[in-house]
Amino acid sequence: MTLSEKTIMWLVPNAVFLIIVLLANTGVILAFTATNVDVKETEAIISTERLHYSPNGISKADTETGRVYTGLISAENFKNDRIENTLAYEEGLAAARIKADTNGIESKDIACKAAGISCAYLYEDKYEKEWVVLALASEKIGGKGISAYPEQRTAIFENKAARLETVVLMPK
Amino acid sequence: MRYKKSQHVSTETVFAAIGFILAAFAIWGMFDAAKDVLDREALYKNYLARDLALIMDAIYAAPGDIGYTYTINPKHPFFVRIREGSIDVSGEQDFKQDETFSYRFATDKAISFQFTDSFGEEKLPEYDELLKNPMKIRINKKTDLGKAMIEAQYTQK
Repeated sequence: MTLSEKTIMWLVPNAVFLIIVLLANTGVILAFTATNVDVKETEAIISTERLHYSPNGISKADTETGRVYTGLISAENFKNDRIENTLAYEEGLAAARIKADTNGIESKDIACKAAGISCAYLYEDKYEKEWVVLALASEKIGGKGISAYPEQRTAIFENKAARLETVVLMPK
Repeated sequence: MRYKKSQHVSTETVFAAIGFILAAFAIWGMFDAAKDVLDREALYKNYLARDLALIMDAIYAAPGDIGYTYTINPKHPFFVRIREGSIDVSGEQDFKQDETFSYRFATDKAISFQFTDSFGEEKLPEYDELLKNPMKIRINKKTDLGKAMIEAQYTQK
């Protein structure tokens, strides 16, 4: 066997092996190089708290003293435009729904128009017509899509005890 | 003419040497790629942008007046700019697009916002000086005659 034949016989399989090992190593390094910090869950929690604690949110507020009565929801403040002014996200970054259930109805599938359930939205059309379906699909299938961050608390709404269900939707 | 055994360099030895040289190049390339990612400090810029955005969200949420000072880690100092609804973090003072990492936060239409760059220099101070006096973001929320305002300032003082 000549030297050039010997060279090719050695070089080809070793080069192929080297390329495979390089690609595998690069893949492992890239998989562990984290350059994204995911804070969406924390952001959703703070957004919900903003609606309850902010003087411009849904809780009753005394304009003279500046005191906010968290846990007391004002029906006047429980409106879509109030929420969209308080949580002024660019459209496409978040959508939310707050359901105030004073009848003690357990099921989360009850539509907002049902008796005794008031709802207020951050971008209602985006929430109901586009994202809620994607969020349900993402939950079942996984992958990229919309993440839902639900939260429940009790409050007084229209002088009745109410269960407040807040769901914040954000793209993954 | 017969070579002594010790003077004969076999073909296998040459191939092994070539293999080691190729492997050295490959290892150097991988380390260089990893170092490039770390030097751009993408992770730290991302973290800072998100941390400040969450703080802005919390300040918007709070009732009453607040004063808050955020000290930037002297090991990873950056230029910071807060626009209404967005935090921009960059290693350069001109905030070039490929060097800038941004994250958004929700504003409140009833609260006005103002940002001032009180530092104003083109280069960040050296590490030793930053240890004594790090870069800061000072955020003040005040309510006056029923109107709320948030003032944010990027400064070293």
